[in-house]
Amino acid sequence: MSATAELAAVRLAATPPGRRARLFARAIRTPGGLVGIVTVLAWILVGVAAPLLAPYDPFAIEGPALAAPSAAYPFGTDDLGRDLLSGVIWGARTSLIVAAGVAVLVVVIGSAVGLLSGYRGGWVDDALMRSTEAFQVLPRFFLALVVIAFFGPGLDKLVLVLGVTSWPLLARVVRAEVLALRSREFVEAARVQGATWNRILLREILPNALPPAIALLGLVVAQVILIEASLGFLGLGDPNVTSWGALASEAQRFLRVAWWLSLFPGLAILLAVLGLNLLGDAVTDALSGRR
Amino acid sequence: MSRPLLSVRGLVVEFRPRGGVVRAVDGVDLEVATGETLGVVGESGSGKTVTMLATLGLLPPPPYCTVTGEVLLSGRNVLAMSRRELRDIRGREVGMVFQDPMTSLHPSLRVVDQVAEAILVHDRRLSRAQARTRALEQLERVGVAHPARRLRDYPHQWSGGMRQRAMLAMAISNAPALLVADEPTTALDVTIQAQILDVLRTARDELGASTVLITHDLGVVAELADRVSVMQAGRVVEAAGVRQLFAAPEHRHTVTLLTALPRLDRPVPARPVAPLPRPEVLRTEDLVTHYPSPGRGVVHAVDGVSLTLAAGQTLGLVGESGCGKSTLARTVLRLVEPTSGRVLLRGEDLTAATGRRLRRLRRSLSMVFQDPYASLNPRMTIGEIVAQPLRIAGCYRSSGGQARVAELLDLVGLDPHTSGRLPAEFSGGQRQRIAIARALALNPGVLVLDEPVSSLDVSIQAQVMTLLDRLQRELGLAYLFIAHDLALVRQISDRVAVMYLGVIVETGTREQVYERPVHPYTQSLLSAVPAPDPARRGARKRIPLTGEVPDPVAPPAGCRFRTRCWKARDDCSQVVPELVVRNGTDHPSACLYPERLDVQTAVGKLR
Amino acid sequence: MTRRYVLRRLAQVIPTTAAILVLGFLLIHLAPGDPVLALAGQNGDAEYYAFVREKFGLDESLPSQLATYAGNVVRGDLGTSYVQGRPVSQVIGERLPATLLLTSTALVVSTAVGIGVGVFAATRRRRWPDVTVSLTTLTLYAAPVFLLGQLAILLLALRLGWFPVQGMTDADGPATGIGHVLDVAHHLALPALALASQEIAAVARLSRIGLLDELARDHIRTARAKGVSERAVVLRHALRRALLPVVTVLGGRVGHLVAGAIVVEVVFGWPGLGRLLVTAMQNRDAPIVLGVFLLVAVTVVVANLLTDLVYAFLDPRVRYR
Repeated sequence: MSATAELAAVRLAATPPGRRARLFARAIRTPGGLVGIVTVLAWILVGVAAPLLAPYDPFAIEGPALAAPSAAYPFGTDDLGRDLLSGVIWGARTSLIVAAGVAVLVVVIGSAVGLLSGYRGGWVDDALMRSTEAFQVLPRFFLALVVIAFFGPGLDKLVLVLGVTSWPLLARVVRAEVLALRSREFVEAARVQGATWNRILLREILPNALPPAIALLGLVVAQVILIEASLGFLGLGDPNVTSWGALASEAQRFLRVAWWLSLFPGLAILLAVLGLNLLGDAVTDALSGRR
Repeated sequence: MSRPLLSVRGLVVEFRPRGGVVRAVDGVDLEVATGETLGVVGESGSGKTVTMLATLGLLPPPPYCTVTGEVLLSGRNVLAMSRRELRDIRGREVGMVFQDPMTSLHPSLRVVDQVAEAILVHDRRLSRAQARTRALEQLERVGVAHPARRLRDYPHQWSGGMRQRAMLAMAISNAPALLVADEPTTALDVTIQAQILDVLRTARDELGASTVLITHDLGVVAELADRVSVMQAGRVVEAAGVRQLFAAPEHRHTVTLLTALPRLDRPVPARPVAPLPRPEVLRTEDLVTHYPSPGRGVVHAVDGVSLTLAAGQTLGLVGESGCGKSTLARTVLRLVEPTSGRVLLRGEDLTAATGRRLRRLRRSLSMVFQDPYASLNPRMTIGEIVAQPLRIAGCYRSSGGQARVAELLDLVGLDPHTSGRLPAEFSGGQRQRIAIARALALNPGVLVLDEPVSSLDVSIQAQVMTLLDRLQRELGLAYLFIAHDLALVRQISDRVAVMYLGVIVETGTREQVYERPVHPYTQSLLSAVPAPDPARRGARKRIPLTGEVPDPVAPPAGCRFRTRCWKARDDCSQVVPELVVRNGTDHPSACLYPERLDVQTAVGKLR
Repeated sequence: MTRRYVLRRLAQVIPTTAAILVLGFLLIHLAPGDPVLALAGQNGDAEYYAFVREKFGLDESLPSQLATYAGNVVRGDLGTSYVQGRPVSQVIGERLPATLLLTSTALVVSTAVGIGVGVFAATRRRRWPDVTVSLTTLTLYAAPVFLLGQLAILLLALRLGWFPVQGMTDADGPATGIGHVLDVAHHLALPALALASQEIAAVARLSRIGLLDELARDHIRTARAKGVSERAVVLRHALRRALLPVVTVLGGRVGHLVAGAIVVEVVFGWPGLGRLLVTAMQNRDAPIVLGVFLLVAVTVVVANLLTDLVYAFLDPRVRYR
């Protein structure tokens, strides 16, 4: 579990809800937030439009082997003469698929556990929180290795194993929000008026619990991209798709002669992760009002 | 007047948050003579605290904050001092006490060591043990009992009052020539406030120190200050001797502060006479609320409270923090389930109601909360907020929809055109008006007001109180008005109940409780409120209460007040005193030995 | 520290460890094929399979199998490697020291340097040293560890020739004595740096924010008002609690570091668990992978336990609760 997502979770959980109007607008107005949102949008755009943007098929042998960056091959080519730029563009798509899949699982499991835990309290809360802690100490990277070892590689398995192990932080933050909001006076005001629990959860609690969850989601997804890249680098990614990690792993053999093979995929990962971190941090800062 | 010990000339402080400049202090002049006490009075945001922090160089460095002007301490310019020189005067020539004793001590260092550090940094020759011994002496001096037994205690093991004593011990430990106290008693209950003010006064007199007392509380100023500077929006608007200021205030703002201040030593306007008959609208019968506190046991928050409230009237409920008054309010509204007892709303049992019946009953009972920043959903517009009770009750359209919302906003003195805005755009006072509008949406007959104005400045407080008064007259509302401020409760109540540690100790009409209190707790509470009248300083005796409120997990057997009562006898620990009218009294009290006492002229059989 | 807190915290380790064991067990049984293959490897003969079947009680009910499995794991029996035909614990044991050396160096370096950098930045808040540190740490934090490793090789090893490119020792280097230590240290420098840099960034960011939050507190103002020097305010008053967030994530960092170490070892040819794992993955040698997973998971649990105890030492309110 990476350090700053943990910290963000702690800070978010410790921040009393409220005073959060126009939060994203404020977050995006900071330099970090702006760079973050632009980078993340660019990553999403490249991932979605990869078939249109990529000049070549990333697997097709197009040019000379190990050609340095040039006008024809802006990022150079690999040892088989495949265009690296196309590889990086398609790699964006792979990372986007993993990120989006994991994000969906994390949001669904994390908010379900968090809402239930915070709302029901008592033994339900105890049991859910114990298992959240257990999930949180699981070393995700190694668990992913085990799953690949037993079941073989594949994006679906990767999304599944990272998704079902990445939700604890989110669950904790959502739970903390629900707990804090539950005893919040505006929620009590709604209760005094006779509002049903459904109405309170949907109208009063959820809109206020969502922003910190989203801020954290960015940081969690950033970690997931790094894990996916590491697995790809170890040659454990899905062999049927191009991924940034796999591209970088090819570079390992040609470090002496083809620096570009290492640099561009690595930079792509760096930018995507940086953008998500910047965005997550900016929203966290805007929420907890410190720094 | 000899050369002033502290002289501030043309002080300007500007904060520079991202993209902007805020001028917090705008050309302030202050002067404190040797041995003199200066009161600096102002509402929140007036710049009084920033002024004193700037004077001691305690503000963040540029670029966040720029300080210009001149601050002379014994003739030396503080603003031009090096870090080293500053360090040398802080704690040695100037001792400071801050507002919140809960956060002003380091949570992970032992209290005694923190006091010892204040001595040690200015006298390196001392050994740790010597410094600790001196620290214990200082703690004893400010009234910490047996400090040597508390050598290993951390701040979280001390109560607020004890921590503020520790802060004071630190401040005076090097016999400073100047003592600066920033709202030293604001976070404390009135009986603890009285204790701390006594300690502060004694320490000041023993040291012969000049004192700057920063406060919003004119009562505190009247008790301690020689001269007063009134601040507003970063400027000193009036400076005068304390008697003159109270007798003949010149500036409009001073006049506002003095007239807005609810006070015990002046007659209050008569309550409107509600038309007869006055049916009972709300009644609690032997209400008990206990709740578990993890790791400690069961908190006896409310322990058998019976109250009645008549239509169109106000029942004031007073007590110090932790006495259970908020839990009582929350139980009445069924935000908390009672352990036993009943709440009757116009004769119908609210505690037994469920589902549709509960929702119907709740329509005629509403609540206004203490914190207007927490009680409005930050993501809803105020129009939605005010309309919400109507929507929940399913009568938004039938009651007039938008028109009804506009009508409600107008009723509480807000512009109906602002209904599309979010709560963040409104001030504390305006937010409380929105909360009141929401509470009135369904035309309830009864309003529970839990400290509705205690987070507001005194001038705003007065406006909201006036609004509440007007609404009560116009709409015939009944109020259960809960507050810790005795003067405020007196102003609006027909009947008053005094709560201590989960039980009502005295109840009666406003006149009975305030003019002829019979329970020793009520008497000491009333005597502890500082009177904003410097002319009568010392003329009035305090009935000092020792110690602090016992833990509601294990309340004392018998009479709950006996552990702090100067009249306690053996049987007080054996007999639980009923709340009844006893010999020689004209209203119910829960004391075996009640006696009448006029606390304003103040006498009685004290220890 | 109160004994009760320590005992209570120790007791919490048991269910977590049990859960990890159950997870390992479940994975063995969920995996396609006969669970005996997952435990004994594919190259065994019928007799050996029967032996393993017997040992792990694979013919009994699932709960009793779980009990047997847990008993074996607790005793250190993690099954047998398919490929090497040796006990997994033995294979892992051989590779563990190199990985331990790499991760512990990175842990110590990143904690020390990270805190130093964080304090440096926080005490120069929003001035240029702080901004520089913030930008650098942000970038380092987002960089995948293999990129850092490859760039380090490109620049510091290949271009400048300051450090060796691969391995843990020189083939012709001294095998014992101080010369050996220096040789290993020379080889360790780059992988440890690559592994530590992301952690340095994380710790620096944590301690910077922690210190800034702490320096804004009321009790710091009290300390300054007492006349405590700025240096003592930071070191004695603020840092103690400012480092709580750094301590909080310490347990989690261990897991993160070991994962990073696997990648770094591949980049630098460091003879630790990393290469073992990659070979095992290529050969679908699941017992090894599962063994490493269990080892790391339990290490992280223990690290979290230690973290909480250190936390309680730093914050008295926790232990008196």
